[in-house]
Amino acid sequence: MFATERQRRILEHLRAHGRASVRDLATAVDCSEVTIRRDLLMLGQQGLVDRSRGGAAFPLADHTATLQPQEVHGQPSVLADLAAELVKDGETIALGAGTTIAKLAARLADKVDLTVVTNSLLVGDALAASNVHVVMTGGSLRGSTMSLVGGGAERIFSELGVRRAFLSGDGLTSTWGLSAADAESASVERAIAAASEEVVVLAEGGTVGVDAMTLTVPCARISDVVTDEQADPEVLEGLRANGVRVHTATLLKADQR
Amino acid sequence: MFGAERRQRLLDLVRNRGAVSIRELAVALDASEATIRRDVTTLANRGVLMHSHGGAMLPGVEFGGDDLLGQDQSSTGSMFGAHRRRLICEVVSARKAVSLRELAVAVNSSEATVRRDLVTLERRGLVNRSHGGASIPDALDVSPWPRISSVVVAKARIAALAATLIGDGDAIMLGAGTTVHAFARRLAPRSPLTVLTNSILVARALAETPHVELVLTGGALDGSAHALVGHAAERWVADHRVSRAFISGSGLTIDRGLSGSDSALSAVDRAIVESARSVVVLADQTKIGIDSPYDVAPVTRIHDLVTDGSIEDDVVRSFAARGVAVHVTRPETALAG
Repeated sequence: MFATERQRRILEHLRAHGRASVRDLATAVDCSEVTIRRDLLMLGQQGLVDRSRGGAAFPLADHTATLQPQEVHGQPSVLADLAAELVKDGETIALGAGTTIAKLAARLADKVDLTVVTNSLLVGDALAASNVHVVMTGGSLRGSTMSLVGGGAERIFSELGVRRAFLSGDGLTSTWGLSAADAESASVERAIAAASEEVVVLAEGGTVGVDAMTLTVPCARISDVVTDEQADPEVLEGLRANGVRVHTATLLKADQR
Repeated sequence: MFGAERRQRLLDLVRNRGAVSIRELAVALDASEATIRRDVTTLANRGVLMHSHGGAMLPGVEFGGDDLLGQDQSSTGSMFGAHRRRLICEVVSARKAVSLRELAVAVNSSEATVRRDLVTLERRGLVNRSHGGASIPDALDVSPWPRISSVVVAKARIAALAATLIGDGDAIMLGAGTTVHAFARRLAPRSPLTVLTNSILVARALAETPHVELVLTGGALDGSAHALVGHAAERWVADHRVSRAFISGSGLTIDRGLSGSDSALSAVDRAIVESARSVVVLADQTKIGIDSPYDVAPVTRIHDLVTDGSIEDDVVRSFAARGVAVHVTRPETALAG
């Protein structure tokens, strides 16, 4: 069993029982007491459990609820920096799921009169304290990506149009387009693209030239691609030939910070 | 008793009393003074209380947002200096203006001691000294001591008790609010449970919980409440039906029922009440007897009330007389789950 899975089970046990001894936890997750002790040390440092001699307790207050968004999304991202320049004051835009898009959202906090429609809780977090007007789509929560999926998430886009959508995926090629590994997420992103005049794709260099399982946006519907220097130049050339504007961020910029 | 349980009880004692000596804590918790001293150090390192000469007290940070009262340096008497200064502030802010003599009686110290304290407090901008007494500065005409900490404990207990009200195969709705959030954190269902909520905090708390299918409503994001509001959120709720709703509101009285202080959040809560067969209200004792501006649910719509142990018996009886099942937490609830 991986450490994260084991720690998740420790947290579940404490959540259900309130508190537990090291011995109980070792039995519950089927590993040694030494391992449990090490896990509790890590979980304690993150504020997820209250450690005690011989055991641990579920903390009374949620120290993780008030994480500052910049702690999560504020890491340097040259893609997000470059993409943020494409957003104008007064626009209505749609932001999809993924950490790259959430980093972009964090850079939009100072825009004036901006409306953001999103299915990503990470985007909501990044903009909660700003003046940006945020509308969440609703839907079933996908815990692994903290995004909303399903018919509920797609419905809003049949009733609303936006100027520009910013999406990222798991693969991008000039022959197919933007693709995703998860069919339900891809379905929401298709709905977002359909409601947008222009689609901007944020693609880290490593995903350029890769086809993932499900097509989300065909190449013809992509207006801009924001990527970095590691992207395969041949694929970028193919995108340009299809009329896509390609913006390449210099990774050097990140090293100089 | 585990160390954590002992430290929790220690914390409860300090929270109830403001400041307690090591000796009293040792007697109350049936442990040696050395053990208690170690516990206090542990808790002080976590910043939840302050280690003071011969005892433990709540940190200033929990009261003023800043350590305005400072560490006690000089106390040798029965009451710690910082605790005494906190009491002085409470008396002054309750009465607006108090004479030195009255203050000395109120905190059981000499006038000289109180005068010295007032000099300290005035330097920190918490009181204005005047000839023969003290008054509160206009800017501070609000109590700087909200009851944060004991409320957190009460909410955790309410959450643990309310978690026992979930049935098998239920679909439930959870409103926004800190008590409901605490409740969501304690949910650990053994069978599939669908949870519909307009609270981002609730969604996050339940995102990876086994057996939970979490549905978030759409809507406009209220950044301070971390909740979705507006017509879209209300419509989402209206389009669903669940067996039970858990909401908290900000005030609860026999005549008025549950009410809220925010118009948009209350509107969503009202929709939740409409969509649920039964309504469970989670309200700590600080909300009971309070009327807030916006109606959420009349008493006749409330099936269960989960509240903490400090509720008065006749209040319980009058809610029960109106058909509300009242569940009262016991002090050990939070830890025993």
